[in-house]
Amino acid sequence: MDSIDWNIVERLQEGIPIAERPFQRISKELKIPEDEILKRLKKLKREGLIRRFGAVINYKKLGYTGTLVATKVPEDKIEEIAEKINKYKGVTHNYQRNFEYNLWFTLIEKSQRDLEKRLKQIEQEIKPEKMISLPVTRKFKIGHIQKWIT
Amino acid sequence: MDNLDLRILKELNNLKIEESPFKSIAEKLDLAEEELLSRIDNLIKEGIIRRISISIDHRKAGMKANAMCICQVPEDRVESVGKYISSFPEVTHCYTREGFKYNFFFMIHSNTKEQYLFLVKKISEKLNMEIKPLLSKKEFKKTSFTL
Repeated sequence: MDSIDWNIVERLQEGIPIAERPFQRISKELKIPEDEILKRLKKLKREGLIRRFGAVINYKKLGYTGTLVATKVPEDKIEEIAEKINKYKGVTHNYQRNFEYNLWFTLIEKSQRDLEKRLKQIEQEIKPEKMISLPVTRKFKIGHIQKWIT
Repeated sequence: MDNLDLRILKELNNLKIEESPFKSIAEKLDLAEEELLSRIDNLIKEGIIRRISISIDHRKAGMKANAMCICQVPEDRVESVGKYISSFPEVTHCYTREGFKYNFFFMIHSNTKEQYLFLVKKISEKLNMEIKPLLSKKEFKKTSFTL
């Protein structure tokens, strides 16, 4: 990605105008021709740099509830356990991290009851050494990733 | 929010990169484009849609270092610590959580390990607090919430 790509990508991560020609408006803001913006975006999408172009939904407003789960699993089984966890539709992120709790995933379900049922279900399936649910109590920032500045 | 809004939300999961991305969806749903735009505006006003945007694969974009930083912040410092840490553009998320001795979580995405370690050291020294950066060793799944 070159610096023009980054300009476009950073602007688009903030959200597009809800209009008939959203990229035309962005073109005026960035002073980059509209067809160039579209061309670059299509290329980035083809190359997999853009994962998705769509609505970011606040699941809480739809009544869904979520949590972050930290688990401790044997290192040599981590790949197969991660695959089992990934099968659940409510799991959006799943990462191996270097800590006592080495497998972390986010889980979103339709209600607190469903969430608790699902946590039990996952625990029974993967049988971790340890597993804790860490729901958010206070949000300070939900942002998006920018080019490293400093 | 009604059934039509639900159908709109489903269609908005994946937009085409084209001059008029909303027109295609309006046609699919047999709606006038104006009505679709107005409904989307409403869903944004209600806070159900945060925005319509792109998500990038930050690893492919070169930001291979992703550290979830955790620390123990006493209750009376949470507010000021939260504001200070959130002020860094390199910090993408910042939350408090319950269920663990570490109550404060924030994410840094950088190109290299050295970059985020430098930032963590800076924050740690300024706040006089221990911060544990938990580097992501492997990404097994990363998707957006969709209906």
